[in-house]
Amino acid sequence: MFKGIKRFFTVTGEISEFSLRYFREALLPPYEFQEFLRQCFLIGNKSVGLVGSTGFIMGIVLTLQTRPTLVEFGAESWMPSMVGIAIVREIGPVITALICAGKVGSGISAELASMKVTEQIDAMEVSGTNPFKFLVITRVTAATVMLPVLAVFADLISLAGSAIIEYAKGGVTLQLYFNKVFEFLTFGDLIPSIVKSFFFGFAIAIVGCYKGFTSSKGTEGVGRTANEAVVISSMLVFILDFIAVLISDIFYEL
Amino acid sequence: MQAGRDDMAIEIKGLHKSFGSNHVLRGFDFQVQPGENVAVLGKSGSGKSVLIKCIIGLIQIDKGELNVLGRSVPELTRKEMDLVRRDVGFLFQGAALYDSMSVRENLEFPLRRHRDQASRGRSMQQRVEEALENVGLLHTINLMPSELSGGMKKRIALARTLILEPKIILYDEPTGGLDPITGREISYLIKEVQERYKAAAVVITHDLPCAKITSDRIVILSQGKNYIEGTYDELERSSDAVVQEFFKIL
Repeated sequence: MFKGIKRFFTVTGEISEFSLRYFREALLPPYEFQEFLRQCFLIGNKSVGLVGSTGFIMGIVLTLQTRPTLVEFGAESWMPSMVGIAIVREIGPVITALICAGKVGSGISAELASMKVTEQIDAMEVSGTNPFKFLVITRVTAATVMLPVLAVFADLISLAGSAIIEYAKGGVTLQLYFNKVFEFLTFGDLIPSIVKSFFFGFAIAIVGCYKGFTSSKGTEGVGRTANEAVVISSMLVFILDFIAVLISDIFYEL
Repeated sequence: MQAGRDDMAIEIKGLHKSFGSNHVLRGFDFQVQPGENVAVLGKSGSGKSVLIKCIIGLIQIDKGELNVLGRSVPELTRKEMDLVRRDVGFLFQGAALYDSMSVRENLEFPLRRHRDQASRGRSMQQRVEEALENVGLLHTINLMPSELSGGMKKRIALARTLILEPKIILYDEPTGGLDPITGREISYLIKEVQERYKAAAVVITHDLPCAKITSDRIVILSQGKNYIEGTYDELERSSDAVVQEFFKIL
């Protein structure tokens, strides 16, 4: 028990130190812009299909599940606004972050851990490249930039899924559906959602990079670090979401 | 800043390095002259790899003097160390080719890092092709590392090491993990490139045939110190028990 608590604080401290190093080194040249763009493409491209399909299904399921209750109260006209707010404020960013934690976070940690085991990180260092800049800063920055983009994409696809069900079940046209959605959505819904997605992206990638960079125990460690990266970053997504809701409540009185 | 002798490629005095209670190097002394090829022989876990990782600055030393090309490694900043590393090549035991890059990109990587050094009147394409030709693997230029055999990976890694035309080359177990025939081919290839590039070399190995082919002088590392040194023939004639342990297995 004591050992577990000690380990928790040690890992928390090390991740914080790793994050501080990111901010220290990210601002100083040289900048690995080409690698950053490559990582943006990889992270976006790798996740767009999964994020899109999951978002679409979430939109459909949410509409199908809530429709009977709203119909019972004669409030089915509230469906677009209710679904729109739920998706944009919460479901879109959180589902996107969880998918990215599983796909991008585990991918980053496994890749870096395997590079460490096979001495590729050392090879980079001896060729005069700062591996932290080349591998960590590019990946963390790319994930921080790409996650909000993916979250907005997931929101739109999810709303499209919901709109199709509304059309099929209630005869609501797509135009009317989206008019209703945007009538009720405010910047108070959208901005906190985008801002928290930046933090989700940062947390997922920094944990993935930290686990990969500090991996040990050879090839056995590669699988373990990927697994740990997913668990820690998923937990962090929920903690950050909780904090984000508390803070946005102060600013926007949700 | 303390500087070493400019006429020495590598100069080490009283080098100490420990990992916790494990004292790996305990006052190691070592000198390599420009153009000289030295093999460091030792049992597994004797600290051979730690030694060359200290030389290239991947591991910080605890105590002692360590000068590479006249610069004191422990006192160098990261930027200064990168400049020293431009003149020091390192062949890793497992080749350490970047998995996500093709052979061409692997060779271009150090050139892109050191653009000033890279040109020398030739384009990057020419430099890459020339380096691959030197190791006889020009046809693999567009392949990925996963498509190469162990021996081919070592050759490509050697080409990547040579591409900046370093003044010192450090080889970490160059024949490790290879069959004896491929190991011998790699050893002769190292000898060939050493003669062509005239770089100083430190070959870390426990493979005596490799040490015989690639080096002018052999240093035996035992209990964290340079136990004995000499040419292959001198050591072969030695009656010392530690030295004979290496020759007995041949």
